[in-house]
Amino acid sequence: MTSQIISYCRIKNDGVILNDRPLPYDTSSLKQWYQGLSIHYPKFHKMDRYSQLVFLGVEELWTQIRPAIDFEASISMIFANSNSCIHTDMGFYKTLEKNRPSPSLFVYTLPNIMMGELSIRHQWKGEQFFFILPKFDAIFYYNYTNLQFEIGKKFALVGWVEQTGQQLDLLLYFISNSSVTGPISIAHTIEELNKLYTI
Amino acid sequence: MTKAELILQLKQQIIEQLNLEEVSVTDIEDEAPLFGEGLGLDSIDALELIVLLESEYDIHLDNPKEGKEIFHSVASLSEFILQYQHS
Amino acid sequence: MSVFITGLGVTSALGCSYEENLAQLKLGNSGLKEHVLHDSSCIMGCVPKSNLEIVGAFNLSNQAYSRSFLLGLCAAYQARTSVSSKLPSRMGLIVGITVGGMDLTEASYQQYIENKEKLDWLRLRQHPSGMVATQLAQFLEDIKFTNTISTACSSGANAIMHGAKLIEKGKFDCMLVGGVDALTQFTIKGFQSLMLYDKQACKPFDEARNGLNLGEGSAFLLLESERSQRATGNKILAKLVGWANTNDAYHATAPSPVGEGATRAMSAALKMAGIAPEAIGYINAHGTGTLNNDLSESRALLDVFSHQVPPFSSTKSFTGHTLGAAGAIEAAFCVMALQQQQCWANLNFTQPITDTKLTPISILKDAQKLNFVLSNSFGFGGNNTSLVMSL
Repeated sequence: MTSQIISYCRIKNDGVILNDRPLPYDTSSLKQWYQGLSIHYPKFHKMDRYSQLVFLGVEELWTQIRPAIDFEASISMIFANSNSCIHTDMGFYKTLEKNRPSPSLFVYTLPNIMMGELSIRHQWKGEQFFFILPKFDAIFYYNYTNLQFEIGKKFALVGWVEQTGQQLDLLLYFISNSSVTGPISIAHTIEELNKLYTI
Repeated sequence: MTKAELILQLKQQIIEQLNLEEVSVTDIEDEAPLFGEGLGLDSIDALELIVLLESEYDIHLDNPKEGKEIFHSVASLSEFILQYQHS
Repeated sequence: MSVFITGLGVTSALGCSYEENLAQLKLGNSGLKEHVLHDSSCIMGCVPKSNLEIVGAFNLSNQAYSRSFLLGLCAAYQARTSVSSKLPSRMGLIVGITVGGMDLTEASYQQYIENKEKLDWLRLRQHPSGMVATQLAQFLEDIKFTNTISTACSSGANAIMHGAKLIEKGKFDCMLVGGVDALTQFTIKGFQSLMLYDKQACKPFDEARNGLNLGEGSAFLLLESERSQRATGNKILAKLVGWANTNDAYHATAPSPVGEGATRAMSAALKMAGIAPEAIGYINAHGTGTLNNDLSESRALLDVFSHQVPPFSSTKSFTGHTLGAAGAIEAAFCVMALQQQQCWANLNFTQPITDTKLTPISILKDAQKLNFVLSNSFGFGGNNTSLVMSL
């Protein structure tokens, strides 16, 4: 079976692209984007910016494909970036300097917490790894995702989640290695991954 | 500060400290439980409340278990603060 | 395809070599002591070697290195040099880590504040989590690629699991996998703010447990495929026969109260190993000493082992919780257990948890026939990993 990218979301400062179409949200106000989703999930407001961005992006992806998929058992999450959660690290460090270390900020300094939040939201209980890579690396993603399919997983949620300075750079996508299809169908190749990243 | 004023101030501080964006002061009843059913706060929120007590009221709690009764509701929290300030 | 463990290196509060760690485990001597780091004074597990001593031992150039790199170097170098110098192919290197070079950033920042000196950018460049792997690859030379994994307290176990997968699926023949983390003010104060840091030495699985102590260290395992091992003839210390990673989907920090994700991780690792639960002769538990972890892990153990839990212990009572290194150090201790046919003690234990009534082994125990051992590593974010090793 060949694997297909069945839904993707690209988030940058100048906007959000969901499956080739721009969304009407401004990434400088994540609250507005959240309100646009018409969901009730108060925990969202307590998350750090990394988790909020990932939460919103995946929420958009998921509404596109939810009806088709029984995800729980066979989904793998493969996330990466190069600077871990440095923005949240700095936020926590500020509270440290004031001698009032914030427990909730400390928790979000761990990069895998964003995947944990997705697990809680969607009850996805499968395997999840967070990698630190020098830069977005389509070859790594391609090889690692295929390795997951080789060991029997059917779906993968893949993410590149970076914030450097004020720059947002996120790419989130679902890959199906089953007959399940989505709103789009892009061949899972290194070339296509690079194309999605350069959107 | 009267107890009523303290309760109002606490509600504002709790909303801010815990990022309860969808909650307003009028949504929090004085006697309603903050955890579990009530506002749905969790263990990390309890720790943030301990930070709040330290930074705003100079009260230091060492043992998270102590927090359980104190943080039951805004009313119990205000009573604890008033007692502490008078002792 | 089999995954052989042929090389091992470990650095912890118990010492800087395999032999030193083994000796202290046998003696039942904890490495936890009162230490001072910046303005924090508390019980920690410090590696008994200074940065200068390590720099000297490896003849490193005269610059500042992060302690994470230096501790990683001690362990990775031992693992690599404990076997035949010739490997059939270049190795992959996978490092599990959480704090990266933060120790050096904190020290540099402190100096900057005190002396009002300029910040040294060369030092700050060692901050990112991925730098330790890059620096290790430069030093070790025969590294083909590097990867870094950051999944909180299961990072080290996940690095091992990832390496094992690559070998099992025939992608690589030799992998150097492990974990590392240095002590930092950031993590100590973070765990204190979560009220999870015990002022005394931690008491895993004890009714009166009151939190964890942090530690520092590193461990690396050299994994070889059958093909590679046949070519090198390296002695097989142990085999990695089962692994699994699951998520609790419950809470950002608190484990599922019934240990649901932990149960699934252990069960899946046993299933992959193709063994029944009763085949396990020793469990190196995650056992941080926090109220939540030890209760939830105990419940998961009761669940998986149908109330006949094999001898188990938490060696965090020796080393402290070494975060990204913990899974790797504890996997190394499991290999030592298989090699020595001994189960390590769970120190500071007096009274079982009322709810679950499980009693860990509190003194060194000789095993009759130890064939299979299990190592648990559970992290924040609900990330649970179990590894099964065999002789």
